[in-house]
Amino acid sequence: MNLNSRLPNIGSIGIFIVTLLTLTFLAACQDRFDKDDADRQAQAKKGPAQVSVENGQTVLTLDAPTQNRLGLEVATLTATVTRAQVTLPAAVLSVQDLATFRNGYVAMQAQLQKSRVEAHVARREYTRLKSLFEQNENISEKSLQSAEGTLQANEADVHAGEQQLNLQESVLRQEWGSVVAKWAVESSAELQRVFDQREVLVQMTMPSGATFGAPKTISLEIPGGTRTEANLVSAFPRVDPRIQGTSFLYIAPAHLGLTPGVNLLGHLSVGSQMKGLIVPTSAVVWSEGKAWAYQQTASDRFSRRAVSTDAPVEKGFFVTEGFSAGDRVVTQGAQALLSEELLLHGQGGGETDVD
Amino acid sequence: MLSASVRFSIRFRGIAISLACALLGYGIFSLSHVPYDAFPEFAPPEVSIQTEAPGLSPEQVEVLVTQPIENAINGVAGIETLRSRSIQGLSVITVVFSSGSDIYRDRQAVTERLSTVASELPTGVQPPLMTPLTSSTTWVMEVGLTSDKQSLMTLRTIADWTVKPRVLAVSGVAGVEVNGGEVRQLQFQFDSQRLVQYGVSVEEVIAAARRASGVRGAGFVDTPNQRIVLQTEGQSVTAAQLARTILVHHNGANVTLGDVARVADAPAPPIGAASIRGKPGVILIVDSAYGSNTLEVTHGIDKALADLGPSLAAQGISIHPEVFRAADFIDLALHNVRDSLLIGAVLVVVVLFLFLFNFRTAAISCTAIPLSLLAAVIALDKMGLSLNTMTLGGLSIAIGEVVDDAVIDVENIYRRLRENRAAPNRRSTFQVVLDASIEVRSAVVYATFAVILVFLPVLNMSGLAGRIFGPLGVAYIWAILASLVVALTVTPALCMLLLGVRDLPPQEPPAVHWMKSGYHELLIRIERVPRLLMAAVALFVALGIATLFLLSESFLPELREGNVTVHMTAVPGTSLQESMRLGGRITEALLKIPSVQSVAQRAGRAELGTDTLGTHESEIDVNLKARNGQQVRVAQAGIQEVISQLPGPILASNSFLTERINETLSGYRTPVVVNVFGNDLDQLDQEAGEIVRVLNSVRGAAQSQVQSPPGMPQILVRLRKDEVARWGFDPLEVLDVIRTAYGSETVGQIYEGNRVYDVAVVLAPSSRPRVTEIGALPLRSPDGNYVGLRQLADISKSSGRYVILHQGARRVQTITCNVQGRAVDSFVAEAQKRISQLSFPSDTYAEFSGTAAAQAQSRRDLLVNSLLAGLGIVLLLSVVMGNYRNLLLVLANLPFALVGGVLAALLTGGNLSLGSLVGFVTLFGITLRNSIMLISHYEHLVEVDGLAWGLDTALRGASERLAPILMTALVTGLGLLPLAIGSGDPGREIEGPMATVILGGLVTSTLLNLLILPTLALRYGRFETRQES
Repeated sequence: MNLNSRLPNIGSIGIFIVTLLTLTFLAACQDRFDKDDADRQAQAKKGPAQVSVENGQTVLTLDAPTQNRLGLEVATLTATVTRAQVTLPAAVLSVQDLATFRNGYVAMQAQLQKSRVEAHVARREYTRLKSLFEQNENISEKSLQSAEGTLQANEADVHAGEQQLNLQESVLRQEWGSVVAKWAVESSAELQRVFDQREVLVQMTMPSGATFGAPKTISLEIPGGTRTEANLVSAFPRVDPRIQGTSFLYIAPAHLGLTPGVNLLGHLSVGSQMKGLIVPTSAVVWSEGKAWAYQQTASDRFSRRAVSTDAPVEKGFFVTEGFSAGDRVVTQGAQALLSEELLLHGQGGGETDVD
Repeated sequence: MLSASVRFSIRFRGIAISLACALLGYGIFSLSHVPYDAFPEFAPPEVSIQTEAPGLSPEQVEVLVTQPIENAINGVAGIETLRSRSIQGLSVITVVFSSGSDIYRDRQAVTERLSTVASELPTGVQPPLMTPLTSSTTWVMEVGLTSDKQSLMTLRTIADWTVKPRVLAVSGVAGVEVNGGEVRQLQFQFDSQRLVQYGVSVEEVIAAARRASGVRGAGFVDTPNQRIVLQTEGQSVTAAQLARTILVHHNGANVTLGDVARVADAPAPPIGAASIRGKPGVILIVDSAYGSNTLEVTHGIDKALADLGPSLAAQGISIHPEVFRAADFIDLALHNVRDSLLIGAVLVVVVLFLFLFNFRTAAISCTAIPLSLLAAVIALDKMGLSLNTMTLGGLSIAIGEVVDDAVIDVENIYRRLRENRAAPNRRSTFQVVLDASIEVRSAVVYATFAVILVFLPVLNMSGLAGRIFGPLGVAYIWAILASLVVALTVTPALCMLLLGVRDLPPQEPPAVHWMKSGYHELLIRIERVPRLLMAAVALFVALGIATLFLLSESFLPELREGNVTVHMTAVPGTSLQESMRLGGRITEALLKIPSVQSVAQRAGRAELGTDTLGTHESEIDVNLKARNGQQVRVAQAGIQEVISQLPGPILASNSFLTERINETLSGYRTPVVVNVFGNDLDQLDQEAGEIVRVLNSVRGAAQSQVQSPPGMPQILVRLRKDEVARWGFDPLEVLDVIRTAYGSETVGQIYEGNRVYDVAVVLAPSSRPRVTEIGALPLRSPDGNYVGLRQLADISKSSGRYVILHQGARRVQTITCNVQGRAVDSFVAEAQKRISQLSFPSDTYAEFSGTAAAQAQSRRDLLVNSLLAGLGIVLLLSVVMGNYRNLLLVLANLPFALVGGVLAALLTGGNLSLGSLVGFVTLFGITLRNSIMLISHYEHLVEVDGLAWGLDTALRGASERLAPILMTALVTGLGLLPLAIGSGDPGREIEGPMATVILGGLVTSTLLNLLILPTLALRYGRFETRQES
């Protein structure tokens, strides 16, 4: 076979190669433009969560599968009535000095009574002798003067006794407060129960600056963990040297372990009862110096709302405004929503909230 | 000298062949113990200094700890970069030294500076520590521990005290970081109310706890004969014993530690957490020592774990060694490259046999391959370089030239011997072999040196690119130098031995004969239409060069290794618990991907760990079952889909080695890094926010984030000095109480066997999470009064920073960004343009770093060095060629090669990575060699054989060079073909594009070299006899 016939024309090879190259070049250009379009489309494609601003509030939109992937959990807030809870140190008081006082007071009362009787007798004696002396000087003037001296001495004893008793009452009031002082003066049944060790007196001190008053009833935590209730007696005029604050006296049923000198913890519900809601701790995220919770405003929409932290309770924060019963808040995944909002859609500011 | 060595080898062929055998043996021996790795050591000498500053805020750490250390270190010679991160309680400074400096000397210099600065740090700050010297890839293995039976505390104790010491004992292990679990402490968890109740202070609790857990030595008793050691016992070691420690004595009654605090084994405040397949556990990260052999270290760790296995299994603990294994990738990559090398070698042998059609000549040519490659391996070993994908790649590229060196020699000797046998006056075989060898040698030597010159730019590349591609160039140069030596010694000796004594078939091999006849006809036809053809070629070249501008560029291609790391960054301040919960969701989804083998999450950091992640950051290690590039691509796409569907934290995934490379370049794991320098942190935050917005507006931006974002919730306690003084407090005492309550105070240690645990005092866990109760923390004044913290201090909630960054001892805010769907360099160019339009305050400015900057630097290096090398080559060739016309003819082949390379790159994705650029350089070397051989053959025909220059001589010369040129091209091409086909498979990602470019260029340059160059030579070449010249 002739070789020439097997070899194609060189010119046609050249043309073929150039055409091929041109086509490749054009294809590459086309491919590149297509790729650019695809990239732009990819760019325009929306992410799993959408963040928008409506009426000045940031709203996150997540469909149900995305919420599921994120493991979001929401809880419905229910209305509740509560008061703030405070724990304060308390101490069981020894009533030994009260008993001693009481004994002294009773003796003083007896002495006063005796002085009064003697004064009364002396007065009657003086009156009788005075009448006899005025009628015809049936008695000597010396006798009359003697009776008068006796009367005045006895009246002075009564006065002194009364003064002493008042002073004792005053001391007692200063040491134990007016109620206990009254109990002591009146020898009340309450005090008797304390003396009989059926009840104990407990001092509870509130730190200075406390904005709440003493509740009528508190719960005392007895060593060992059990609790018992104590009722307010009165303000207590003595200061707990450890804690600079206002003390109150409570009376509680005697209990094993509630011996004088024992330090206890008192749990108080303070302030007035308020209607509101408890935002659970798990729903709260801190950002920009404030506490927030994500509220589910529609099945796929969430927005961040400020949570007031003025009234912390055991399971979260008691709020009276900002939320209402039936609101749904995110209790799992709130931090992830915060990440979505802050990391991808702008940083949080640096506001400060002073405690 | 050349003649002498050839003469010596032919005369003493026995010695030459024996030495070759010895070299072969030693080379095989070297193969068995040379270190293997995935990549060369690509990290520059680097020293990391960590300083624990318990309780200090990032701002305090920056000013009180980081700055003094930076100032002390800054003067050390050879520092290239100084970076630091000041986070809560920890300062981390990374000092990067210039490449080529001695890491041991660098560490010594840093140690000297640190010893002086340690005494200047604030009280309570621990001395600065240098982290262990590790290899570039740092992590050699991650091992997970989980258990159904044991608690997390027991698991961590076993990890710390049983597994870690055993693994540390393995040779080549530099350190073990333990992540997750619960670190056992004996804690005194005091109840603040009880302190008031019993009238004691935190200081008294600390003092009592310190006394209770104290250990005292006792000395010894000397008798006339013996020294008897006294040992005292009685230290309380159990929680119950410690709880009975008397704290104070009031009114005849004792108050014990147990009255005011719960004494219990409890977890230390955690700084990290870990899970394996979603199950909480412990992850041990094993760092390999600098210069260690990853495969050997892994083997050692496997053995250590196998030893521990039965005992751990008995305790119900499962070991997960598959979490991350660097050795898997090395094995796979080396396996793939070795396969390519072997397949290439087999194809080469087939081609040789087909072309030479003679068993003996083919055998002689083939001998050069193992000899040259093994000689190169020995040289690499002696230089301390490992066998890795790059050095093996260099050897793959060299195969073609190695064979060519031998083939040129063998082919010429064979031809001259045949001619001699046919000649009437036969010369001695010795003389014929010697003359034939020397005849072709000078051209081969010049061609080899020209190729070495071509490779110098690759060797001279700076930075990471130089450290990655340098070893490839070194391996290549060693192989071709060894090949030159083999061609000068062993090949002539073997030719003398095998060809000199036997009869040789008179005719040419059939394949060569057939090709030559066709080729001759083709050349004649081409010669008839020179103008048309040259115009077509010019257009072809012009279009090819125009196509170059369509290619996008990248630094390194995406590595298809089986280890993918998913980074999860939530807003700063996110708790470990929430990070682990989110990680658990991702883990669950990732485990559903069929090719995922294991998923393990690490949140936060480990003590003295290489990473300093906060509790809001996690790394999720995904180990894939996938083994080839396509499977890995699919798996990576699956992972990308999973993470793109989860809102909330920023999620990004990358392969482990890609991240390490990015981290080496910029300290971050993303390709684009923008640093904003300035003094005012708030100003920096503001500018960084602007830059993020700008970056997000650029097409292709993904996961843009500020590295040190503000917004971490913090509670600021600012003491009111007048109040503190009024109550008689010492301010430091107040701060100590706060630190003890919320940070814990370590007061001593207790030991159990060889295990030592901290004893710490801390506020009861039930009280710690109550943000609003911090103000109620009671403090006892010197008068015995209790005062709430809020009476002494203003307590406010605000936003702070998790980390404060420095670079070059200046404050910096860093923005990192990934790029999706477009090339990094074009993204950076656009972003730079847009950012330059922003107006910054006078003392604030932005700088780009990351792979884009490195790529630009590498390109500049390559260009400048290539120009210099080009000049060298031109000078060298001008010496060889004698006249500029022939020199230009040799150089004419370069655009031919360029076009083929560009087309190949275009057809395989249109991306030019650094590997492709190195491919072009290599291609130019190979092409130059081919054209040098053709032109020098023409010169030989005219100058030595005395033929007149004309069409016949041109045709004869081209026909005679047809077989060697085709053989070289085919051998080189086939040697690289497996690499090019497997481009994208693990281990071939970098060399694949390089091989593709070389292959494409080789096709066009060989075609044009064979078809066009003779025509050009005929028209423009000048060949004259020696007498005339």
